[in-house]
Amino acid sequence: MKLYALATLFLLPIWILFWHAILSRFTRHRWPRQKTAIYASLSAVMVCSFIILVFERHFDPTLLAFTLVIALSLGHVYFHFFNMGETARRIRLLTKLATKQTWTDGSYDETQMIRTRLQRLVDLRQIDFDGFRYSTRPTLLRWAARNIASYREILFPRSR
Amino acid sequence: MVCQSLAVALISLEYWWVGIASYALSHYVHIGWWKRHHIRQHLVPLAIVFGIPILVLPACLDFNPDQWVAPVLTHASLAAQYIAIYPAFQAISPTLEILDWLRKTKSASEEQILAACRERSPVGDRIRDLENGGLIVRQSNGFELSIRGRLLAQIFIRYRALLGLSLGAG
Repeated sequence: MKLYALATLFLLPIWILFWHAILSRFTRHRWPRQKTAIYASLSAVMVCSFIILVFERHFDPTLLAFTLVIALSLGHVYFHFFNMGETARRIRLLTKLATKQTWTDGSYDETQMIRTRLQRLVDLRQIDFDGFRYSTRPTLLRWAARNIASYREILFPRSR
Repeated sequence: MVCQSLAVALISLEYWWVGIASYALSHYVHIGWWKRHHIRQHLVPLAIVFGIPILVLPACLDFNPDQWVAPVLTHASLAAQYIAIYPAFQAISPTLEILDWLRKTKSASEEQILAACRERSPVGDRIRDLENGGLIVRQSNGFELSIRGRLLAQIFIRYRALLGLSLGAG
């Protein structure tokens, strides 16, 4: 693999950032933010992988496998970095402090935080709301939630 | 001349799969270590378990850059993406808890969900995480950011501004 092709591949998070910054300005009032981030990451991964193969000017299964493993990993890293800024309570607490909004242990509104997450899940079509009750849907995120809970049991067996 | 040489320099992908094997081994060690010991500070143990192979792989491949660059980069990418999702395993995410809880109960009212989430993952635990991580410091009238906390907060504030988005709601 040529060095400049490798460099292009490893700068993928930067390419995703630029593309995401453009896309989010068009979709911020139409799409949920995570949806925009997912589309930006996946499309950049596909385009970057294609460009790498064009740089190399030949098709090789090893090259394709290596490119896809690296590109998907880096795209995944970018998405979770974005998602952390969007949904993580710890980041929210840090930015509240940084923007001079002081708080003590009790002043972070947990009820509003949970309501925000419920609305986010409805907007992303991960759960349904009929006006009175929330109900589940068979989605990839629900499957991930179940497996994350199981994996946490393995990593932290004393947590329950 | 140097740029031209760098442009056509080739990296061998012959041993790239060794990076997958080294990541799998690191992950196995990670699970075993976490199961046996109560980990409070997560960053340093993660850096050790996933960082050591990056130093060891070149030695295993005769310090020949043509052989070790691709596996090291593969290992580093896989390790980075695992560390990116690690907070979801380490801290109970209300979003994932809502989904998993709804999966078991099939449906629930907002009040039931609020009660369940407050019980499972109070925000006090997240504040404790920030204190343990050295990102905030407790003062008499609340909390203040440490230098590291200030840096991390600024990264996210500027990143969100670059995307044209307001700060996340948490």
